[in-house]
Amino acid sequence: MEMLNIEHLTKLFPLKKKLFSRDQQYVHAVDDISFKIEKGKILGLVGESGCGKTTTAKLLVRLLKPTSGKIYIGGEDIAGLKEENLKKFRKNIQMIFQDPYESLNPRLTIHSTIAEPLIAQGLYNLEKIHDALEVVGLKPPEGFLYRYPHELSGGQRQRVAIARALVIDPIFVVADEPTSMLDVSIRAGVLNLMLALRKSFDLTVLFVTHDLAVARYMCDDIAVMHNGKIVETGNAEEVIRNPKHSYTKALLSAVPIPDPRAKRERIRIRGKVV
Amino acid sequence: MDTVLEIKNLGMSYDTTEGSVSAVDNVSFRIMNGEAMGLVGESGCGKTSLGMCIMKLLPENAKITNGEIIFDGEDIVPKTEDEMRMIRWKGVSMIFQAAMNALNPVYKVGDQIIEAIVAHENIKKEEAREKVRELYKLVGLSPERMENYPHEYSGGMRQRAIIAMALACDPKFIIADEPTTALDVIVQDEIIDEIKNIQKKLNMIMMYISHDISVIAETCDKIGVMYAGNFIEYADTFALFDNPLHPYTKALMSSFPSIEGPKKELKPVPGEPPNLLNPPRGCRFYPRCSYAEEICRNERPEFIESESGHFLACHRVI
Ligand SMILES: Nc1ncnc2c1ncn2[C@@H]1O[C@H](COP(=O)(O)OP(=O)(O)OP(=O)(O)O)[C@@H](O)[C@H]1O
Ligand SMILES: Nc1ncnc2c1ncn2[C@@H]1O[C@H](COP(=O)(O)OP(=O)(O)O)[C@@H](O)[C@H]1O
Ligand code: SF4
Ligand SMILES: [Mg+2]
Ligand SMILES: [Mg+2]
Repeated sequence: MEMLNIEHLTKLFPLKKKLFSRDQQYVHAVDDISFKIEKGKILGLVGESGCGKTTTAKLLVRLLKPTSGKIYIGGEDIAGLKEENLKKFRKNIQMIFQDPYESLNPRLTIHSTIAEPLIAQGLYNLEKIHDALEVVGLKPPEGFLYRYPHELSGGQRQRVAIARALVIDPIFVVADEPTSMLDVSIRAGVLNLMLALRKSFDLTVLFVTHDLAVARYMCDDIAVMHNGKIVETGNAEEVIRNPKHSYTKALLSAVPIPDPRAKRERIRIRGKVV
Repeated sequence: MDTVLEIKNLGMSYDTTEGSVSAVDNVSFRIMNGEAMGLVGESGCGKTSLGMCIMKLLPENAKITNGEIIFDGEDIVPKTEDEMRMIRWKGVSMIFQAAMNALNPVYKVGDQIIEAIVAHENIKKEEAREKVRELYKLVGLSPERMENYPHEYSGGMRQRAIIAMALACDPKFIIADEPTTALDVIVQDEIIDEIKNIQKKLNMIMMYISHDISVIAETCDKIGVMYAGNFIEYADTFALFDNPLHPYTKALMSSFPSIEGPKKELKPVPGEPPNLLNPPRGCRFYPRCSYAEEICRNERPEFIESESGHFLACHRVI
């Protein structure tokens, strides 16, 4: 069954008008994209910086309003919903942000941070907060509840962000580069945690990353984004072993290989001198 | 081959209100003529601190507690700040971590590099400008870009300019501290390629700092692995990948995903690195090591050559 189905999703940002110019120009941040995610699957959205990944992520959780297109979640289109009608969906969809240092409010304790979405839904319950901390491996929960973000390591902060996203039992999670700010050794732990959670809660996940090795490890399917458009989608292993689109090939050829004997041909998609 | 840099038993610590942080402890290694050495290890293990020791650009609260840094035949540890000023830029130069965000926003990028050259070399502004034009070409930037301000550069272009600046006085040794970490895959790849080519072309030695072992695998001839201020393994890149000996190095290698080969489960190193205010008395990896024995708790393993050219600090393997 499809959990998420987006059709012709588009987001334009108006550019500052040039003096005396009559036409309004736009950045096509997300340019007519369509894809589906089956329930319980992880879709990787990959592409280089500025290609539109974060904008897509924000549209799906309706932190941004689409210019046009449809976003069906569990069958219902949320693309055009007004803020007051979105509340019910806010409970089902959660987002984990790129930077654990920015996404947590430094003045809130871990307890208040995780309580926030519960309170917003009128579901506050201390036991739930305890459970969420245990699930993400912050044990014993009492040892973390009344600490502040600056008293935690980067990996622990990202675990708090995950606990906060999961505490209201969402059915769909959008994770925007959740490990790109983390050290490698911590990164592996957070990735494994997300895989384990997906399994136990049957979560559907959109996993945004520019790291194809991470996408291969995490995702069932991969969608490759370039200049606001999806240029290729398919089974993760298949896209990586057998890329069809020239941009996917170029992207793959830029990934460093942890093996000094590996020889890779670099495919350049831009001219050499910039 | 000649040794260009030799570090012997180097120790450095930071004084803090809570006590002394032992950030570099008993580190020894050499880099030979023409070689690139990669330095890996997790956040906070002392990579930047080691680089700063070699540059002798340490903050007030830091001091080199023991050891020698022999560069080009001379120990630079006892050198004064005046003497160091001669060595920096022309001898050793560093691409600082996150430096691309440190370009001065109100000056043209080209002028900032020209200023750096004029301050360190006895040449006229016009000669310096000509030199910057050449450097721009070397790092793959179009010389017209010298007239732009930092905000008119993309992240990748800014990083290229920073590399040009580090090369401005023809150093013999370049330290690159996480030069691509803030960049995305494609730009990272372009910059790595550039740095590697320039290093070979100008026949410099290089210390390339990164927490990403795949980047190091592609750029460096030798690899040093740091853990909690210590060098724990040092070997030829092939030897280190074919036959990692230290339990931490092995763990580090299995925490990286790859797009090649069969899909393997990642095995994160359990636990966290020790607090360097009060590191474990014996092996600093002891609390996280699955091979630890009684001796590891009490005795610091020595850093010795366990096979030809392969150095190691572990009780178990020797
Ligand atoms: N609020 C905004 N106003 C104007 N343009 C924007 C806005 N947000 C994003 N853009 C533009 O839309 C495009 C896509 O941006 P987006 O941040 O979604 O990319 P990204 O793939 O997430 O990049 P990164 O990996 O660097 O975060 C870019 O050209 C960006 O400059
Ligand atoms: N100015 C400073 N004062 C006190 N401690 C410091 C200072 N700079 C770094 N440290 C400590 O020294 C250790 C090594 O830091 P650093 O060299 O920055 O590591 P890396 O570059 O590998 O992340 C860490 O424990 C860090 O907290
Ligand atoms: S010395 Fe002991 S604790 Fe340290 S790495 Fe070797 S086996 Fe592990
Ligand atoms: Mg982004
Ligand atoms: Mg550093």
